[in-house]
Amino acid sequence: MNAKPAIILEGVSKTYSIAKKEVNALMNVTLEVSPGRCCMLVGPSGSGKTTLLNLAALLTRPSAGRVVLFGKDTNSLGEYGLDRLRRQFIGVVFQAFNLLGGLNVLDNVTLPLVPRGMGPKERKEAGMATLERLGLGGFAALRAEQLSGGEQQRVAIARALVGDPSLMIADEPTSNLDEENVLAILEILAKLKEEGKTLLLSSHDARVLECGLADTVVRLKNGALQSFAAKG
Amino acid sequence: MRLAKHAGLFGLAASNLVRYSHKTIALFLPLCLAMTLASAMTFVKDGLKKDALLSTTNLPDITLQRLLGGRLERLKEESLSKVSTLPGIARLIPRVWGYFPLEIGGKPFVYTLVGIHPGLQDPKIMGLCVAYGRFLKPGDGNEAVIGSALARSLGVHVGESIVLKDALGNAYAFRVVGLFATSVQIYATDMLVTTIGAARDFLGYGNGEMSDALVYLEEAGLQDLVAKAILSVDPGFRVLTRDTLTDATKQAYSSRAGVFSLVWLVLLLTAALVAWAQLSSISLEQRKEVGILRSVGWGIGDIIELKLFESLIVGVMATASGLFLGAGYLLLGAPLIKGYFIGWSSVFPEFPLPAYAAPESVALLFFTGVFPLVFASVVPSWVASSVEVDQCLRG
Repeated sequence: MNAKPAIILEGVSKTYSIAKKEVNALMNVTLEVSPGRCCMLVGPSGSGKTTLLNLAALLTRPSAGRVVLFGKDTNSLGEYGLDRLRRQFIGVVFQAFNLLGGLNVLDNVTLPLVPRGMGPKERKEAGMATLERLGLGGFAALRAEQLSGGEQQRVAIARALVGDPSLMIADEPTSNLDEENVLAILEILAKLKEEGKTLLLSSHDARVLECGLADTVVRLKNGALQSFAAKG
Repeated sequence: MRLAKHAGLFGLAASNLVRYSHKTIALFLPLCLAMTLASAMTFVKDGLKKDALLSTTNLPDITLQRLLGGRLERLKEESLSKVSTLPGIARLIPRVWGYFPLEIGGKPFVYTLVGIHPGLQDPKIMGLCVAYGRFLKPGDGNEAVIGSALARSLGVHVGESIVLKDALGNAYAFRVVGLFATSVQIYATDMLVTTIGAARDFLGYGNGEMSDALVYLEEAGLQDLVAKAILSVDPGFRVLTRDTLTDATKQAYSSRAGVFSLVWLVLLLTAALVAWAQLSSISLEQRKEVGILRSVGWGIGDIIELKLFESLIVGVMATASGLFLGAGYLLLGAPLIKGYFIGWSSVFPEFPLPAYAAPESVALLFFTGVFPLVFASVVPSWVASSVEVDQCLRG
């Protein structure tokens, strides 16, 4: 593939300071994800999957190494530049959904559109279209906390998708969901891939691995890249 | 597009206030209460000041009094002969005034009696306005025009007589020919204006004696020059220019007045407490919210603007409600704290509190009610926004 990689992590390390102790969450990881491909991070809890996703989503900065997103070296960007890049290219789905309680589903989904300067009517139309696409049209007026775990996960995906990002990052998108909801989420992710979106996912769910969604599978252990497997 | 963004942020700020209704109410109530008290006090202060200044607008250019051993002494007509010939003086009018006690309903009150030359003094020039009946005219003797509070206390009307005890304890009758309007509360409400002759008889002044003399100049700008000239003629005079009296009145009702300073201090402390509560409650939930918003593409500026709108809405609503409630409280007669507003009520008859909302006071109230809240919510949001998103999300 000739296109520039969507994500480049080059010798990336991340160290957290917890209770005055330095904890190495990620050590010297190098990874590339091409546009339109799906990269799956696997590994046990505490292996560094979420840290790697956070680095790729520009939610944190590396302690060492560099993160390049769609050709932009993010190390040289200030907070303003990171915010802009995030708004422009990235949709994030968190393991804990991170929906705003008290806001209804439609307002949660359209949150990313507010700083883009879209009017209320346009926001509503875009939000409803995304909800309909994910089969959540009837939930628009409900408050986020009134939904089941699977529904909240789909709302979180809708929120990540509403701004039509090129890169979708999802942390354990199927954890704690029943079979039916796992299949629904996998179907959505497969559709996104078909549409040409780049996917960076983490999961320790065998069903996600087995569904054939991932083009590459990266195994992490204790913050280090253990293995790398590419399809075909 | 920009306007749509700001409108969107404003809408979200409004819904956030509903989402965090407990916190909104916890902010709104103390601020509203503080602003109610502060606005009631401020409106009364402005009303008193306006009333007092109204009474000074018609003061003579110079008021002359006699001091003896630092205390006020009666002026004698002959002591004014040299002064009346000084250049720049247009008119010099003697005035007799004093106080008289009156017990009404078992309570002692003190009223003011002023004796004037009816032909020489126009009520308008004196800042008085007759609402019913007429003012004094040349040839009157024991006729009097009285203030509304005095008339109400005694239950008298125009054409009726009132009998008071004079300086020697003898009964002295005045015939009421007019009532002053109630617009000038402080100045006229407790006043009895009669002829200078009747006033001398009532207060025990001898012929040619007076309390003070009112000096009207050919040009108001000559006040200081003429005042100096009077003192050079007779250093025993106390010379009060209109500017001096106006300044003294302004200061008496300005922020230096103790009770108002106290209320403002309480208000500032309340605002500081509210601010502190805001600052300390940013921690987990709001920090996480900042993280979520940034993770979905919000910039630091967007979040600060959102918080700015939230605090502006609460601050403006609480202040505006406080202003209306304060005004309403005054309309009800300011029960419980009226006595604090008018500290001299034990010697002054009952009168409705004057109230006035000066634009600069309303602006100051809004600034005091809104600014600390805005500052207290924007600063921590800015601090939370400037840390890594990942850190915010972890709380």
